[in-house]
Amino acid sequence: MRGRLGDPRGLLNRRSALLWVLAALTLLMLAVALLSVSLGAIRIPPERVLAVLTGGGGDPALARDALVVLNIRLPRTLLGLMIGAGLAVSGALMQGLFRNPLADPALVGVSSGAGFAAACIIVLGDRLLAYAGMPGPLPYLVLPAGAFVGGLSATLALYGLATRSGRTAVATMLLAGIALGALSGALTGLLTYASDDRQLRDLTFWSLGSLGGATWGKVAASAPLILPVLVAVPFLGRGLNALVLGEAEAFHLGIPVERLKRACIFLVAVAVGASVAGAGVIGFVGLVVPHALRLAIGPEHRLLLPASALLGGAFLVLADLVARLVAAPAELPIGIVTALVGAPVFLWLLLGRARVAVDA
Amino acid sequence: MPEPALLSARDLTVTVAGRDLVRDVSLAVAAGSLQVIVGPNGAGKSTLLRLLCGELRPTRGQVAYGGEAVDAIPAWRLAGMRAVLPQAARLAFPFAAAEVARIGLDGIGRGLTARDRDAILARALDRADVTHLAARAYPTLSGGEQARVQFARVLCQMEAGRTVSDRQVLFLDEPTASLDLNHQGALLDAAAALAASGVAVVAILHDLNLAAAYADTLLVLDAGRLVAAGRPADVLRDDLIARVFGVRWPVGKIPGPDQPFILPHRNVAAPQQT
Repeated sequence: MRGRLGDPRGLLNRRSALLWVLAALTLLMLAVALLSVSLGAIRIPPERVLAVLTGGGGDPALARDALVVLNIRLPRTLLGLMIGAGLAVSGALMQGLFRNPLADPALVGVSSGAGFAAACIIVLGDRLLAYAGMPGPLPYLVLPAGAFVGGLSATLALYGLATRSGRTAVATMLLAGIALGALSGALTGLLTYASDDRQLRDLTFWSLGSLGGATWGKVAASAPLILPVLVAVPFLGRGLNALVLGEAEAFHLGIPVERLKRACIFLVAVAVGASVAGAGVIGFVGLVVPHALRLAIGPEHRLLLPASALLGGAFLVLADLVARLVAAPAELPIGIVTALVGAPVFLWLLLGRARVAVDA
Repeated sequence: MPEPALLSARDLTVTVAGRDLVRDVSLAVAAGSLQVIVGPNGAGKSTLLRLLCGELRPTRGQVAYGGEAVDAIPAWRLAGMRAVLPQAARLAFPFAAAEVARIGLDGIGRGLTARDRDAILARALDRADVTHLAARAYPTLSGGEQARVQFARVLCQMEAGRTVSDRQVLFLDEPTASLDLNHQGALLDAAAALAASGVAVVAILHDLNLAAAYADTLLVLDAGRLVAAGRPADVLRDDLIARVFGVRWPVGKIPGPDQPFILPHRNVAAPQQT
């Protein structure tokens, strides 16, 4: 059947294939979301979830289900979908920008900056408040807001370091990102060393991530940051395809390369900053989701980017489901699940690909 | 009154870290001409090409397309006016060869239907002799095959760009470096055919025999300066070869019978299957 592919029209008549892939991934995402709302400490069958979501007709038996679905599971699922989509798309953008399938959103410094800011707030926040004469717990939004600002400032600093006379050297940015990550890792380690038991638990929670604190408030805070990124991203597909050939080649093809690089960096900073603020640092989604998709549907960015959003959302919600079911009533940090599930799948995909490459 | 040259450069100089990579180069390329830049390593050939295609800004001097300064032309419009074949391009992602060629069509050209684009792609793949490689993953191709896929991409860009501008320039940076003899001839024949259709072609070549066979104007670059320009027969002289390339190889003299030689001939097709 490979002969058929030799005909370029057969190969490139992909518009319908594109729609099928996106439709299938959308269905997968909706199914996972429904499962996530339905399963938990109280099991609510999918038909009752749908009844609650469509209004339910005021059935009193649904009142308890409605409470669980609307107040607890729906915001958690929606937050998971958004953060998963944001992280996966950020991964795909970074890999396209750095022209390296191993690039990760963490490379632009946003995760390490956000992590360091969060550690500062967790460990030093109470003392600073006490010093300022305002004892008591930190206001609820200080931590996520601080993490977001920390992530964004780290990215801006990195971008400034790598930009000379209007041109951003992505290789410099990558190396500087690694250095900055090591530095903020060391500083975070120093803070960890100085922290007490409660702070240590908070730090651990933060660095492994969790959707446990999901509220409508967090959904409302994340949506205006992550959703615009998801909407903007498909428009970068053509530019990223050309960038795969090289920066000079992309310019020859009419792509405004510097503007494209800037757009990628800032969209990633916003999406990852909002994700870290909403659920802590969750690794592996940005690496494994785009990679798996590239193996399955190819590297064409106009398909890869929206597909990453859909599969990323589904992957994170599924990981969250595992995190809260596997040791119920306790919850695992979601970062452990994404790595435990993601790493073997990733290796399996790589091995499968190696075999194909030998065949070809 | 002569119209302005399709591509012209005036007093181009690029200074990097106190060193002039290109110095006071002026040239004019007319529609339909095929000009070949030759010179030893480090003479500034690639830098000159990058200046001419608008990728690099000169420290002094100016490049113009039909009299319009190149830095005043936005990237998207320039993409319809000129295409560049790079020396070698590696890809980190497993795009199929046809997808790589098709990138040359994306967003370039006006009023092209999906069917038109498919037809342009099919023609380009055919002319670059890579139709049989269309479905192969680009990173698995050999260096020469990759170069031909890139040539197909450039052909796509040229043909799509023609719907926007009928005054086009094609730049080729050592296009024959990784090709076998058959494909060297085929590529340069295709470039000559484009020139015959009114495209201005500027190519860097290392092989002086190929340059002499295909160039209507030869530009000799040495240490950043344009030291000779003209018809190959006028430019390629023993003293220039000795001075610029540092070899005392005589021009046009047949070596002894114990040293066979093969010279390129223009527009001689591959052997007929008869």
